[in-house]
Amino acid sequence: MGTAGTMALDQSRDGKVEGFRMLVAEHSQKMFRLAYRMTGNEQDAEDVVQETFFRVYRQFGRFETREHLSSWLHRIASNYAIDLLRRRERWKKADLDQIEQVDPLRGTEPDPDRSTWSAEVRAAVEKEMDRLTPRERVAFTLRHHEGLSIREIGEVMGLRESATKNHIFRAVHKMRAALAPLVGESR
Amino acid sequence: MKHYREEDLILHHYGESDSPDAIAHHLAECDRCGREYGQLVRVLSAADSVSVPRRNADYAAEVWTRLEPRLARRPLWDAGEWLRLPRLALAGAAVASLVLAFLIGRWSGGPAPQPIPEEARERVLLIAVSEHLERSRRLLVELVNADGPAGVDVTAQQSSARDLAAHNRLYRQTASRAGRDEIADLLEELERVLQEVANGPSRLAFTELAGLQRRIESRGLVMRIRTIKEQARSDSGQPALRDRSRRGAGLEL
Repeated sequence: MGTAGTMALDQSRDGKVEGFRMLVAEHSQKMFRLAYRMTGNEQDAEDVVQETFFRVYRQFGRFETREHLSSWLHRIASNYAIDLLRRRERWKKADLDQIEQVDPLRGTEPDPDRSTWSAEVRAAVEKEMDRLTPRERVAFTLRHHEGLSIREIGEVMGLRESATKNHIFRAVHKMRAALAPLVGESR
Repeated sequence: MKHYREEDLILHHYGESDSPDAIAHHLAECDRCGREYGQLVRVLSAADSVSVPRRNADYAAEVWTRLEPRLARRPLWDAGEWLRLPRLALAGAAVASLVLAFLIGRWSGGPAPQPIPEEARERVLLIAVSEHLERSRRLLVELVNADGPAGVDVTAQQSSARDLAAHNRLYRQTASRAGRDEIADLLEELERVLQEVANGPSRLAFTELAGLQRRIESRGLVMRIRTIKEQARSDSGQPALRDRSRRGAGLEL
Protein backbone atom coordinates (compact mmCIF):
# COMPACT_ATOMS: atom_id res chain seq x y z
CA MET A 1 0.00 0.00 0.00
CA GLY A 2 1.24 3.44 -0.89
CA THR A 3 1.74 6.45 1.28
CA ALA A 4 -1.67 7.83 0.46
CA GLY A 5 -3.30 4.60 1.50
CA THR A 6 -1.36 4.54 4.73
CA MET A 7 -2.37 8.06 5.58
CA ALA A 8 -5.93 7.33 4.60
CA LEU A 9 -6.08 4.37 6.90
CA ASP A 10 -4.51 6.15 9.84
CA GLN A 11 -6.97 8.99 9.50
CA SER A 12 -9.87 6.62 9.06
CA ARG A 13 -9.09 4.90 12.31
CA ASP A 14 -9.55 8.23 13.97
CA GLY A 15 -12.95 8.35 12.41
CA LYS A 16 -12.07 11.03 9.94
CA VAL A 17 -14.39 10.76 7.03
CA GLU A 18 -12.03 12.52 4.69
CA GLY A 19 -9.37 9.94 5.39
CA PHE A 20 -11.78 7.16 4.65
CA ARG A 21 -12.72 8.83 1.40
CA MET A 22 -9.07 8.60 0.35
CA LEU A 23 -9.06 4.94 1.19
CA VAL A 24 -12.16 4.43 -0.93
CA ALA A 25 -10.56 6.41 -3.75
CA GLU A 26 -7.52 4.19 -3.68
CA HIS A 27 -9.28 0.85 -3.52
CA SER A 28 -12.57 1.24 -5.39
CA GLN A 29 -11.37 0.08 -8.78
CA LYS A 30 -9.54 -2.92 -7.37
CA MET A 31 -12.50 -3.82 -5.20
CA PHE A 32 -14.84 -3.70 -8.16
CA ARG A 33 -12.61 -5.98 -10.22
CA LEU A 34 -12.40 -8.47 -7.37
CA ALA A 35 -16.13 -8.26 -6.71
CA TYR A 36 -16.98 -8.74 -10.36
CA ARG A 37 -14.72 -11.77 -10.61
CA MET A 38 -16.40 -13.27 -7.58
CA THR A 39 -19.98 -12.53 -8.61
CA GLY A 40 -19.84 -12.29 -12.40
CA ASN A 41 -22.45 -9.57 -12.31
CA GLU A 42 -22.13 -5.79 -12.28
CA GLN A 43 -24.98 -5.03 -9.94
CA ASP A 44 -23.87 -7.64 -7.44
CA ALA A 45 -20.30 -6.38 -7.74
CA GLU A 46 -21.47 -2.85 -6.97
CA ASP A 47 -23.29 -4.16 -3.91
CA VAL A 48 -20.17 -6.01 -2.77
CA VAL A 49 -18.07 -2.86 -3.14
CA GLN A 50 -20.56 -0.75 -1.21
CA GLU A 51 -21.09 -3.26 1.55
CA THR A 52 -17.38 -4.02 1.90
CA PHE A 53 -16.45 -0.39 2.40
CA PHE A 54 -19.38 0.11 4.74
CA ARG A 55 -18.32 -2.85 6.87
CA VAL A 56 -14.70 -1.73 6.80
CA TYR A 57 -15.79 1.61 8.15
CA ARG A 58 -17.86 -0.02 10.87
CA GLN A 59 -15.20 -2.44 11.98
CA PHE A 60 -12.10 -0.36 12.52
CA GLY A 61 -11.96 -1.55 16.07
CA ARG A 62 -11.20 -5.06 14.87
CA PHE A 63 -8.45 -3.95 12.58
CA GLU A 64 -4.93 -4.32 13.88
CA THR A 65 -2.44 -2.78 11.50
CA ARG A 66 -2.48 -1.24 8.09
CA GLU A 67 -0.43 -4.15 6.75
CA HIS A 68 -3.55 -6.25 7.13
CA LEU A 69 -5.74 -3.93 5.14
CA SER A 70 -5.51 -5.89 1.93
CA SER A 71 -6.39 -9.23 3.48
CA TRP A 72 -9.05 -7.52 5.53
CA LEU A 73 -10.69 -6.09 2.43
CA HIS A 74 -10.44 -9.50 0.77
CA ARG A 75 -11.99 -11.16 3.80
CA ILE A 76 -14.96 -8.85 4.04
CA ALA A 77 -15.57 -8.81 0.30
CA SER A 78 -15.25 -12.60 0.09
CA ASN A 79 -17.61 -13.26 2.95
CA TYR A 80 -20.18 -10.89 1.59
CA ALA A 81 -19.81 -12.29 -1.93
CA ILE A 82 -20.32 -15.83 -0.62
CA ASP A 83 -23.48 -14.73 1.19
CA LEU A 84 -24.70 -12.97 -1.89
CA LEU A 85 -23.96 -15.92 -4.19
CA ARG A 86 -25.77 -18.26 -1.81
CA ARG A 87 -28.78 -15.97 -1.83
CA ARG A 88 -28.61 -15.84 -5.59
CA GLU A 89 -28.56 -19.63 -5.77
CA ARG A 90 -31.68 -19.79 -3.65
CA TRP A 91 -33.42 -17.21 -5.80
CA LYS A 92 -32.44 -19.03 -8.94
CA LYS A 93 -33.81 -22.27 -7.60
CA ALA A 94 -37.01 -20.56 -6.59
CA ASP A 95 -37.74 -18.80 -9.82
CA LEU A 96 -35.09 -19.70 -12.33
CA ASP A 97 -37.12 -19.89 -15.49
CA GLN A 98 -38.88 -16.59 -15.04
CA ILE A 99 -35.71 -14.74 -14.15
CA GLU A 100 -33.67 -16.25 -16.92
CA GLN A 101 -36.23 -15.24 -19.50
CA VAL A 102 -36.20 -11.57 -18.65
CA ASP A 103 -32.67 -11.02 -17.40
CA PRO A 104 -31.31 -8.32 -19.70
CA LEU A 105 -27.84 -8.61 -18.21
CA ARG A 106 -27.50 -11.87 -20.07
CA GLY A 107 -27.04 -9.78 -23.18
CA THR A 108 -29.55 -10.55 -25.86
CA GLU A 109 -28.17 -8.10 -28.38
CA PRO A 110 -26.07 -9.52 -31.14
CA ASP A 111 -22.40 -9.36 -30.32
CA PRO A 112 -20.01 -9.69 -33.22
CA ASP A 113 -17.47 -11.42 -30.98
CA ARG A 114 -19.94 -14.17 -30.17
CA SER A 115 -19.17 -15.85 -33.43
CA THR A 116 -15.50 -16.10 -32.68
CA TRP A 117 -13.78 -18.89 -30.84
CA SER A 118 -12.54 -16.63 -28.08
CA ALA A 119 -16.06 -15.40 -27.40
CA GLU A 120 -17.21 -18.99 -27.22
CA VAL A 121 -14.52 -19.76 -24.69
CA ARG A 122 -15.35 -16.66 -22.70
CA ALA A 123 -19.02 -17.57 -22.60
CA ALA A 124 -18.15 -21.10 -21.51
CA VAL A 125 -15.92 -19.80 -18.73
CA GLU A 126 -18.64 -17.46 -17.48
CA LYS A 127 -21.13 -20.30 -17.53
CA GLU A 128 -18.88 -22.63 -15.62
CA MET A 129 -17.97 -19.96 -13.10
CA ASP A 130 -21.68 -19.52 -12.47
CA ARG A 131 -21.98 -23.23 -11.81
CA LEU A 132 -19.30 -23.31 -9.15
CA THR A 133 -20.39 -23.24 -5.55
CA PRO A 134 -19.94 -19.85 -3.87
CA ARG A 135 -16.89 -21.06 -1.96
CA GLU A 136 -15.33 -22.69 -5.01
CA ARG A 137 -15.82 -19.52 -6.99
CA VAL A 138 -14.40 -17.23 -4.36
CA ALA A 139 -11.45 -19.50 -3.57
CA PHE A 140 -10.64 -19.86 -7.25
CA THR A 141 -10.89 -16.10 -7.81
CA LEU A 142 -8.59 -15.36 -4.92
CA ARG A 143 -6.05 -17.92 -6.13
CA HIS A 144 -6.22 -17.43 -9.85
CA HIS A 145 -7.03 -13.75 -10.28
CA GLU A 146 -5.84 -12.21 -7.05
CA GLY A 147 -2.73 -14.36 -6.67
CA LEU A 148 -3.27 -15.11 -2.99
CA SER A 149 -1.55 -18.19 -1.65
CA ILE A 150 -3.62 -21.11 -0.42
CA ARG A 151 -2.66 -20.25 3.14
CA GLU A 152 -3.80 -16.66 2.68
CA ILE A 153 -7.05 -17.78 1.08
CA GLY A 154 -7.67 -20.07 4.01
CA GLU A 155 -7.23 -17.12 6.36
CA VAL A 156 -9.50 -14.90 4.31
CA MET A 157 -12.25 -17.52 4.06
CA GLY A 158 -11.80 -19.00 7.50
CA LEU A 159 -10.97 -22.46 6.15
CA ARG A 160 -8.33 -25.04 6.87
CA GLU A 161 -5.63 -25.34 4.25
CA SER A 162 -6.87 -28.75 3.13
CA ALA A 163 -10.41 -27.46 2.70
CA THR A 164 -9.13 -24.44 0.79
CA LYS A 165 -7.19 -26.70 -1.54
CA ASN A 166 -10.23 -28.86 -2.11
CA HIS A 167 -12.36 -25.90 -3.12
CA ILE A 168 -9.72 -24.80 -5.61
CA PHE A 169 -9.19 -28.33 -6.92
CA ARG A 170 -12.89 -28.83 -7.45
CA ALA A 171 -13.25 -25.48 -9.18
CA VAL A 172 -10.38 -26.19 -11.55
CA HIS A 173 -11.60 -29.73 -12.16
CA LYS A 174 -15.07 -28.51 -13.12
CA MET A 175 -13.66 -25.80 -15.35
CA ARG A 176 -11.37 -28.28 -17.00
CA ALA A 177 -14.11 -30.83 -17.62
CA ALA A 178 -16.25 -28.20 -19.29
CA LEU A 179 -13.58 -26.32 -21.19
CA ALA A 180 -11.25 -29.07 -22.31
CA PRO A 181 -13.17 -29.68 -25.54
CA LEU A 182 -12.75 -26.01 -26.41
CA VAL A 183 -9.09 -25.68 -25.57
CA GLY A 184 -7.91 -29.13 -26.59
CA GLU A 185 -4.58 -30.14 -28.02
CA SER A 186 -4.97 -28.37 -31.30
CA ARG A 187 -5.31 -24.92 -29.75
CA MET B 1 6.58 -44.55 -14.12
CA LYS B 2 4.64 -42.64 -11.52
CA HIS B 3 2.29 -40.03 -12.95
CA TYR B 4 1.13 -36.93 -11.19
CA ARG B 5 -2.45 -36.29 -10.22
CA GLU B 6 -4.44 -33.27 -11.36
CA GLU B 7 -4.16 -31.82 -7.87
CA ASP B 8 -0.36 -31.97 -8.03
CA LEU B 9 -0.37 -30.24 -11.40
CA ILE B 10 -2.70 -27.49 -10.14
CA LEU B 11 -0.42 -26.80 -7.19
CA HIS B 12 2.57 -26.83 -9.52
CA HIS B 13 0.91 -24.34 -11.84
CA TYR B 14 0.26 -21.96 -8.98
CA GLY B 15 3.75 -22.37 -7.59
CA GLU B 16 2.54 -24.12 -4.46
CA SER B 17 3.92 -27.58 -5.01
CA ASP B 18 6.20 -29.12 -2.41
CA SER B 19 8.39 -30.64 -5.11
CA PRO B 20 8.45 -28.26 -8.06
CA ASP B 21 11.76 -29.50 -9.49
CA ALA B 22 10.67 -33.12 -9.51
CA ILE B 23 7.40 -32.26 -11.24
CA ALA B 24 9.09 -30.02 -13.78
CA HIS B 25 11.55 -32.80 -14.57
CA HIS B 26 8.77 -35.34 -14.88
CA LEU B 27 6.72 -33.10 -17.17
CA ALA B 28 9.70 -32.79 -19.46
CA GLU B 29 10.07 -36.56 -19.61
CA CYS B 30 6.49 -37.82 -19.58
CA ASP B 31 4.29 -37.18 -22.62
CA ARG B 32 1.11 -38.09 -20.82
CA CYS B 33 1.64 -35.75 -17.90
CA GLY B 34 3.02 -33.11 -20.24
CA ARG B 35 -0.18 -33.19 -22.27
CA GLU B 36 -2.30 -33.12 -19.13
CA TYR B 37 -0.40 -30.16 -17.82
CA GLY B 38 -0.58 -28.35 -21.14
CA GLN B 39 -4.33 -28.72 -21.22
CA LEU B 40 -4.63 -27.57 -17.63
CA VAL B 41 -2.63 -24.45 -18.39
CA ARG B 42 -4.79 -23.69 -21.43
CA VAL B 43 -7.97 -24.05 -19.39
CA LEU B 44 -6.65 -21.76 -16.70
CA SER B 45 -5.52 -19.26 -19.32
CA ALA B 46 -9.03 -19.36 -20.74
CA ALA B 47 -10.32 -18.27 -17.34
CA ASP B 48 -8.44 -15.03 -17.92
CA SER B 49 -10.47 -14.34 -21.03
CA VAL B 50 -13.47 -13.19 -19.02
CA SER B 51 -13.50 -9.45 -19.12
CA VAL B 52 -14.31 -7.19 -16.23
CA PRO B 53 -16.43 -4.19 -17.21
CA ARG B 54 -14.26 -1.18 -16.81
CA ARG B 55 -15.27 1.59 -14.43
CA ASN B 56 -14.67 5.14 -15.47
CA ALA B 57 -12.19 7.48 -13.83
CA ASP B 58 -14.90 8.91 -11.58
CA TYR B 59 -15.84 5.54 -10.20
CA ALA B 60 -14.34 6.12 -6.77
CA ALA B 61 -16.30 9.35 -6.50
CA GLU B 62 -19.47 7.49 -7.46
CA VAL B 63 -18.80 4.87 -4.81
CA TRP B 64 -18.21 7.59 -2.28
CA THR B 65 -21.40 9.45 -3.20
CA ARG B 66 -23.44 6.33 -2.47
CA LEU B 67 -21.44 5.42 0.60
CA GLU B 68 -21.14 8.73 2.42
CA PRO B 69 -24.77 9.08 3.55
CA ARG B 70 -24.53 5.66 5.19
CA LEU B 71 -21.31 6.57 6.99
CA ALA B 72 -22.83 9.76 8.30
CA ARG B 73 -25.50 7.77 10.06
CA ARG B 74 -24.88 5.99 13.29
CA PRO B 75 -24.79 2.20 13.11
CA LEU B 76 -28.14 0.59 12.49
CA TRP B 77 -28.35 -1.02 15.87
CA ASP B 78 -27.29 2.07 17.77
CA ALA B 79 -29.88 4.66 17.17
CA GLY B 80 -32.71 5.94 15.10
CA GLU B 81 -30.57 8.34 13.19
CA TRP B 82 -30.78 6.13 10.17
CA LEU B 83 -32.88 8.44 8.16
CA ARG B 84 -32.45 8.71 4.49
CA LEU B 85 -31.76 12.33 3.81
CA PRO B 86 -35.08 14.12 4.18
CA ARG B 87 -34.36 16.30 1.19
CA LEU B 88 -33.94 13.20 -0.93
CA ALA B 89 -37.32 11.94 0.16
CA LEU B 90 -38.85 15.31 -0.63
CA ALA B 91 -37.12 15.41 -3.98
CA GLY B 92 -38.38 11.90 -4.70
CA ALA B 93 -41.89 12.91 -3.81
CA ALA B 94 -41.73 15.97 -6.01
CA VAL B 95 -40.39 14.00 -8.96
CA ALA B 96 -43.01 11.30 -8.49
CA SER B 97 -45.78 13.87 -8.38
CA LEU B 98 -44.57 15.54 -11.55
CA VAL B 99 -44.18 12.24 -13.31
CA LEU B 100 -47.61 11.07 -12.30
CA ALA B 101 -49.15 14.39 -13.24
CA PHE B 102 -47.51 14.03 -16.61
CA LEU B 103 -48.68 10.48 -16.99
CA ILE B 104 -52.28 11.25 -16.28
CA GLY B 105 -52.11 14.37 -18.42
CA ARG B 106 -52.93 16.93 -15.80
CA TRP B 107 -50.61 19.77 -16.44
CA SER B 108 -52.11 22.76 -14.75
CA GLY B 109 -50.12 25.35 -16.63
CA GLY B 110 -52.41 25.90 -19.62
CA PRO B 111 -56.11 26.01 -20.25
CA ALA B 112 -56.01 23.52 -23.09
CA PRO B 113 -53.26 20.96 -22.58
CA GLN B 114 -52.03 19.13 -25.59
CA PRO B 115 -52.57 15.37 -25.49
CA ILE B 116 -49.42 13.55 -24.54
CA PRO B 117 -48.40 10.85 -26.98
CA GLU B 118 -48.85 7.37 -25.57
CA GLU B 119 -45.26 6.45 -26.38
CA ALA B 120 -43.92 9.41 -24.41
CA ARG B 121 -46.10 8.57 -21.42
CA GLU B 122 -44.89 5.02 -21.38
CA ARG B 123 -41.28 6.11 -21.65
CA VAL B 124 -41.65 8.47 -18.71
CA LEU B 125 -43.36 5.75 -16.71
CA LEU B 126 -40.54 3.32 -17.39
CA ILE B 127 -37.84 5.81 -16.45
CA ALA B 128 -39.64 6.78 -13.27
CA VAL B 129 -40.34 3.18 -12.33
CA SER B 130 -36.73 2.15 -12.89
CA GLU B 131 -35.58 4.95 -10.56
CA HIS B 132 -38.19 3.98 -8.01
CA LEU B 133 -37.16 0.34 -8.20
CA GLU B 134 -33.53 1.24 -7.68
CA ARG B 135 -34.37 3.24 -4.54
CA SER B 136 -36.50 0.36 -3.29
CA ARG B 137 -33.81 -2.15 -4.11
CA ARG B 138 -31.26 -0.23 -2.07
CA LEU B 139 -33.59 -0.13 0.88
CA LEU B 140 -34.19 -3.88 0.69
CA VAL B 141 -30.46 -4.58 0.32
CA GLU B 142 -29.79 -2.51 3.44
CA LEU B 143 -32.45 -4.44 5.33
CA VAL B 144 -31.14 -7.78 4.12
CA ASN B 145 -27.64 -6.81 5.20
CA ALA B 146 -28.66 -5.35 8.53
CA ASP B 147 -27.43 -7.11 11.59
CA GLY B 148 -27.02 -6.34 15.21
CA PRO B 149 -26.50 -8.38 18.32
CA ALA B 150 -29.51 -6.95 20.08
CA GLY B 151 -31.83 -6.17 17.24
CA VAL B 152 -31.89 -3.13 15.02
CA ASP B 153 -33.58 0.22 14.96
CA VAL B 154 -35.36 0.65 11.64
CA THR B 155 -36.94 4.02 12.25
CA ALA B 156 -35.21 5.52 9.25
CA GLN B 157 -36.03 2.58 6.97
CA GLN B 158 -39.63 2.93 8.01
CA SER B 159 -39.59 6.52 6.89
CA SER B 160 -38.09 5.54 3.54
CA ALA B 161 -40.48 2.61 3.22
CA ARG B 162 -43.48 4.84 3.90
CA ASP B 163 -42.33 7.28 1.25
CA LEU B 164 -41.61 4.53 -1.26
CA ALA B 165 -44.88 2.73 -0.53
CA ALA B 166 -46.87 5.86 -1.30
CA HIS B 167 -45.13 6.28 -4.64
CA ASN B 168 -45.26 2.58 -5.27
CA ARG B 169 -49.03 2.50 -5.09
CA LEU B 170 -49.30 5.23 -7.73
CA TYR B 171 -46.76 3.62 -10.02
CA ARG B 172 -48.49 0.27 -9.63
CA GLN B 173 -51.84 1.71 -10.60
CA THR B 174 -50.32 3.54 -13.55
CA ALA B 175 -48.44 0.46 -14.70
CA SER B 176 -51.60 -1.57 -14.44
CA ARG B 177 -53.56 0.94 -16.50
CA ALA B 178 -50.77 0.96 -19.08
CA GLY B 179 -51.00 -2.83 -19.40
CA ARG B 180 -47.56 -3.37 -17.88
CA ASP B 181 -48.69 -6.38 -15.89
CA GLU B 182 -45.23 -7.67 -15.10
CA ILE B 183 -44.23 -4.36 -13.56
CA ALA B 184 -47.56 -4.00 -11.79
CA ASP B 185 -47.26 -7.49 -10.28
CA LEU B 186 -43.77 -6.81 -9.01
CA LEU B 187 -44.82 -3.46 -7.57
CA GLU B 188 -47.71 -5.14 -5.82
CA GLU B 189 -45.36 -7.60 -4.18
CA LEU B 190 -42.89 -4.86 -3.33
CA GLU B 191 -45.66 -2.82 -1.80
CA ARG B 192 -46.49 -5.57 0.66
CA VAL B 193 -42.91 -5.60 1.91
CA LEU B 194 -42.72 -1.82 2.05
CA GLN B 195 -45.97 -1.71 4.01
CA GLU B 196 -44.69 -4.38 6.36
CA VAL B 197 -41.59 -2.32 7.09
CA ALA B 198 -43.50 0.95 7.25
CA ASN B 199 -46.16 -0.34 9.61
CA GLY B 200 -44.03 -2.66 11.72
CA PRO B 201 -42.22 -1.88 14.94
CA SER B 202 -39.45 0.68 14.72
CA ARG B 203 -37.13 -1.64 16.57
CA LEU B 204 -36.82 -5.20 15.35
CA ALA B 205 -35.60 -7.98 17.59
CA PHE B 206 -33.05 -10.28 16.06
CA THR B 207 -35.68 -12.94 15.22
CA GLU B 208 -38.05 -10.36 13.73
CA LEU B 209 -35.28 -9.00 11.55
CA ALA B 210 -34.30 -12.51 10.47
CA GLY B 211 -37.94 -13.22 9.59
CA LEU B 212 -38.19 -10.07 7.48
CA GLN B 213 -34.93 -10.89 5.74
CA ARG B 214 -36.15 -14.41 5.01
CA ARG B 215 -39.38 -13.10 3.53
CA ILE B 216 -37.49 -10.70 1.27
CA GLU B 217 -35.02 -13.34 0.21
CA SER B 218 -37.44 -16.20 -0.25
CA ARG B 219 -39.31 -14.19 -2.85
CA GLY B 220 -36.13 -13.33 -4.68
CA LEU B 221 -37.41 -9.80 -4.55
CA VAL B 222 -34.08 -8.00 -4.77
CA MET B 223 -33.04 -9.89 -7.85
CA ARG B 224 -36.41 -9.55 -9.52
CA ILE B 225 -36.46 -5.83 -8.85
CA ARG B 226 -33.08 -5.54 -10.44
CA THR B 227 -34.18 -7.53 -13.46
CA ILE B 228 -37.36 -5.56 -14.03
CA LYS B 229 -35.55 -2.31 -13.36
CA GLU B 230 -32.98 -3.08 -16.05
CA GLN B 231 -35.73 -4.16 -18.40
CA ALA B 232 -37.61 -0.92 -17.77
CA ARG B 233 -34.44 1.06 -18.41
CA SER B 234 -33.86 -0.80 -21.60
CA ASP B 235 -37.46 -0.42 -22.80
CA SER B 236 -37.35 3.28 -22.08
CA GLY B 237 -34.36 3.66 -24.36
CA GLN B 238 -31.86 4.17 -21.56
CA PRO B 239 -28.73 2.06 -21.76
CA ALA B 240 -28.61 -0.94 -19.46
CA LEU B 241 -25.97 -0.85 -16.76
CA ARG B 242 -23.64 -3.20 -18.57
CA ASP B 243 -23.89 -1.39 -21.89
CA ARG B 244 -23.39 1.97 -20.22
CA SER B 245 -20.24 0.87 -18.48
CA ARG B 246 -18.80 -0.46 -21.68
CA ARG B 247 -19.49 2.57 -23.75
CA GLY B 248 -16.31 4.28 -24.74
CA ALA B 249 -14.34 2.60 -22.04
CA GLY B 250 -13.41 -0.66 -23.65
CA LEU B 251 -12.94 -3.84 -21.73
CA GLU B 252 -10.25 -4.86 -19.42
CA LEU B 253 -8.93 -8.34 -19.12
